[in-house]
Amino acid sequence: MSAILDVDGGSFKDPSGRVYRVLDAPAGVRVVRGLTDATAATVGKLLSEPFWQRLVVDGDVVNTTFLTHDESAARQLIGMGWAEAVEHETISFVSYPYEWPFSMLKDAAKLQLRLLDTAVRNGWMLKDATPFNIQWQGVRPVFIDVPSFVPWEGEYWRGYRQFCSTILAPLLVAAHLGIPFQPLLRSSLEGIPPQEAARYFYGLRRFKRGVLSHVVFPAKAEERMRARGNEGQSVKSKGRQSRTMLLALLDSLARLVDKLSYKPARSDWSNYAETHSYDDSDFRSKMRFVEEHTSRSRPRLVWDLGANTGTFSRIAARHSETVVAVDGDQDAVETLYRSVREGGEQNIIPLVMDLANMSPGQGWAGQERAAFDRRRTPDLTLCLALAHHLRVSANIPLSLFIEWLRSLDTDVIIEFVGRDDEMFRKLVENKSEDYPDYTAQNFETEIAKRFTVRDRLELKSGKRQMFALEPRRMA
Amino acid sequence: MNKRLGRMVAAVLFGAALVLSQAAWSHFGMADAPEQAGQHPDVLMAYVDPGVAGFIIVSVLGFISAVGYTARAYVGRLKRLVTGEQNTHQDESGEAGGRRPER
Repeated sequence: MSAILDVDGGSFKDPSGRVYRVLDAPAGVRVVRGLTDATAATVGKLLSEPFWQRLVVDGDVVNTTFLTHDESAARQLIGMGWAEAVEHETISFVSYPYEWPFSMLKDAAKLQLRLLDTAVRNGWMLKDATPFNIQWQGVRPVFIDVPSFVPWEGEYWRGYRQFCSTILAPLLVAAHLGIPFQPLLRSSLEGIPPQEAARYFYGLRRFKRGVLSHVVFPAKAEERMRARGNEGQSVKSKGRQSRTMLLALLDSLARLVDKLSYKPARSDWSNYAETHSYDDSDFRSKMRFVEEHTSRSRPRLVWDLGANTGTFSRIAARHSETVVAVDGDQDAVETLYRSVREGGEQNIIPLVMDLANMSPGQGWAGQERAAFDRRRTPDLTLCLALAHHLRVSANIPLSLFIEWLRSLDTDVIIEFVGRDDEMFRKLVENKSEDYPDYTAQNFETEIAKRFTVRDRLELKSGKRQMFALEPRRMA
Repeated sequence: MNKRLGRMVAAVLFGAALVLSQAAWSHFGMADAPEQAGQHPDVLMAYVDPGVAGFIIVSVLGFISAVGYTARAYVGRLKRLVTGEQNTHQDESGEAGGRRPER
């Protein structure tokens, strides 16, 4: 028996279907989609296409199957008014473009263009081009919005503007000007529209690769057309485009995206593996502690908060299904993504996020894009040498941080950096505040209120301490 | 003599292009300073669809790309003819598959 848990908050925009999460006793959480009659016919045709089956085998699109009407989940969706139901392969953790480092957005762009190229060659089209249609299985991008594929009857590529606003312009701004796109995409879910993007590229900057053709020209054309529209003239935008021209445009975009690059700076964190303050023995002890506790609990989902370049995410990844490695330093996360992609633990999803200002619920009613800590509860959370940064740099009281950790209802491995540690002293060097709550004793008092300490380890002659915690539950 | 004439023509054309482009920038209000800052161009509730120029943009860019695409194909063929290499590029016959990623 399946029970519908909730409806996906971001799936309402396309009236052709809606995504639901279903709790199924033996299978766990499943993802199903209700479809209208017309969309079910289109999806049925799509699933039988050889090119689609090849995309599924290559892992480029999410595996999708029709549910028979006698299945419990299908019965419930049909009862809700849908004509048919399909089931999608589940994604281990949902993330959004404003949390991806440069190379993840670039790889998402390449997948989007490749899929469209393949679709057009086979008589299909993608009706939109938003990066929200792409999710990650570890470091592998997967296209999830199956009803975006529609038969192509020669109309022009309507998704071009969306592709430019939500994918290409952010990449251009980051690659050419070194401006991080994450805050821009987070504040505007529709991306950077051409006229706004054009303002970044003034003077000679407009001659940088891809800017004249995909930013300045569209901005000007839109401005003119809008002016005409406002003057009351007809500005209908309908027409057909030849297959050759569309394929050529896709080819030119793919080559442009391929050439865009971002060089991570050698920040404090992107070089963490060489610059940390432990001696070899302490560092090995710390790694052993993490390894021992992750291998013992074998968690399905691990969050590594403050992951840097992922030294401990990799250890956790060996004993879990998925590790979400989060850090506020985009250079560190970029380095992690590239190294994992090139060969390593493929079940790590690296995300850029300021941990003192995590992704909130966004979009319509604040539910279209879920808040980071409302997507899926982790089984284990790593917070290694993070609390002192939150306390000193972001002024988050220790008690609030530990309370939030408890709210996750997850096992925790946490490292406390003492006040006599040289890194803590460096952090507070120019601060006038004393942070009186930040003491080892207060830390232990706060965790004792909410967690049971399963294990502990002293590092650097007691300047740092590692704790393995289990949430304390009411009897 | 011909070379010198060619250079002169190129210089004149370049100058004219520069003047025209500058005139175009100022005509379209694309001076260096972002003087319209503060007006978000994608006002959600506007009556004129922000994607209204989509067809024109995609057609123009598609045409330009197709010219380059075709030119590259011919240059490639010419190169292969000269060097005697086999065609190892992606399938352009229109069959299923499209571009494959490097993994």
